[in-house]
Amino acid sequence: MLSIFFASLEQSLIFLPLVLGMYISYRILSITDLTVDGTYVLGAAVFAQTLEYGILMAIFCSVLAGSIVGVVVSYMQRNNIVNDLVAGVLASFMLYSVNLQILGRPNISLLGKTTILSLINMTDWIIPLLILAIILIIILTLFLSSGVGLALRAFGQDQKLLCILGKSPENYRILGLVLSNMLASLTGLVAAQVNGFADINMGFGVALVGIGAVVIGRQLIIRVYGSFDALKEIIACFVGIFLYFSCMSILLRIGVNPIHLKLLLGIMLFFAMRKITYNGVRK
Amino acid sequence: MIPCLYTDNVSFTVPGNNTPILSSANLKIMPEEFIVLLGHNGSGKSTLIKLLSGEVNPTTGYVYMDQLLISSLDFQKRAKDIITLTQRPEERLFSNLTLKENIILWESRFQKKERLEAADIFSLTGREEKFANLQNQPVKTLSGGEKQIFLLALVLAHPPRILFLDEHTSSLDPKSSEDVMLMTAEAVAKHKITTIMVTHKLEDAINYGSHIVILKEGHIVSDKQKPHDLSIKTLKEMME
Repeated sequence: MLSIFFASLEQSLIFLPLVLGMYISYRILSITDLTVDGTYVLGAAVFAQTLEYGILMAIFCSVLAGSIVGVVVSYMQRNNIVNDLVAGVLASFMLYSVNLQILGRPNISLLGKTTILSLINMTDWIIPLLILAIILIIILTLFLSSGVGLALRAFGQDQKLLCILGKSPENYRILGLVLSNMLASLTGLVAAQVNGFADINMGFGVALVGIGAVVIGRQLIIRVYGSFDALKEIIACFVGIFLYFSCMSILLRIGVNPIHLKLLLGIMLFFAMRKITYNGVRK
Repeated sequence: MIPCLYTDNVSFTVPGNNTPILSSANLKIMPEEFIVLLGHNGSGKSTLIKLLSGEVNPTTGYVYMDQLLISSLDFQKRAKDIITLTQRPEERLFSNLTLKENIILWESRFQKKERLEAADIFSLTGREEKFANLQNQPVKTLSGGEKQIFLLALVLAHPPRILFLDEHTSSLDPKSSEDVMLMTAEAVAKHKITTIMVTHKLEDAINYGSHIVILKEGHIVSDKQKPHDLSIKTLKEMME
């Protein structure tokens, strides 16, 4: 039981930045950005290929690559000329080629290479992942509670009104999508280190998992409308992703064939993502 | 005197439609005037307001503000100078955000030192205590009348130079409608705001307008100072 808990905790901590990124795009900006499927792999690929220049350089390049994707996707969606969902699918479609180009082959092993873990002389990922999560939670809570955070939420509700109030909606789109894609590439580079490899197919479905986690967490933690509490929202994201990985670990532990795993998790996400009304009664 | 807003042969046609909603409209609006636009449904009143406020661009012709093309003006400046209130206040408010958050966003149009606090806005509503208690509620929990009063307070906290009122009291019950109209008229008079109002309430036109413009099937058929002895009957005859 404890091993299930720790395995799920580790997975959740790895995925937390991506989920928080999805929270920014999906909940705050009201943009369904599936680009992160590709950005997640990009983060891992750039990290793996730039590791020889030093780990800090590799992290920097990887996150920078993620932010560039954010700018490109914002440009594709600007003034809503292309639907956000389509733009995201298109971007991740194109990123497949880019990622394969960067990796050079479908899979690169990082075993024996310097990682954050070997740098700080530790053997277990839980503590560094926890520290990373806490830092991210503090930064994002402050950011989302600020005036800029409020303007991002305003973008998600009414871009036209934001324009009437003399603000350029497109600037907020860029800011939000850059942030969310940076967080996705950060997740990619962490996952590559923890798993010991960067793989061209590692990103399949991660955006969906992110959205699922955001929705599940909100339904459990934030049921009533009230004033916005950034910390509560972020904790809800963590609870969502933790539940997702707990379910996955339990399914595997009880002997579910891994081939059926995505089907079962998909069914579970479907039931969790159905809309609920204010008083908690399902529509 | 130089008009603060004027149109030069403005027409507007919806793409794919041959009949213009508004054709060859010429209108001069002098500073501090209170213009009332009258006309039956579909006569082009709302379109004229949208063109004058720069919300849509004319198909042909030009709209000038302070002798500059309105489309060429910086939209941050426009956001401070021109405000339109419609019968749907929710179009100008973020419904899922709280009253306080809406205040922050509306105030963010101005420099930090010019910005007002939530309490200052609530004091303008005339129902300070009530709104202060609701400040952490989403705007969508307010009634239609409350939304319009709250929006009006947000607008009048920094009086715009030009105020467009597009039937802004028409969806309210008689009491709220009267409250909102009085609150608007007082502020317009106090701050000498140039106002262009579309209404179907002829008594409001007579009570508050300084200038009456009548539209018919997309044409301006009458544009003159309001006579002192104008009656609802005469006005009705003018509109036919």
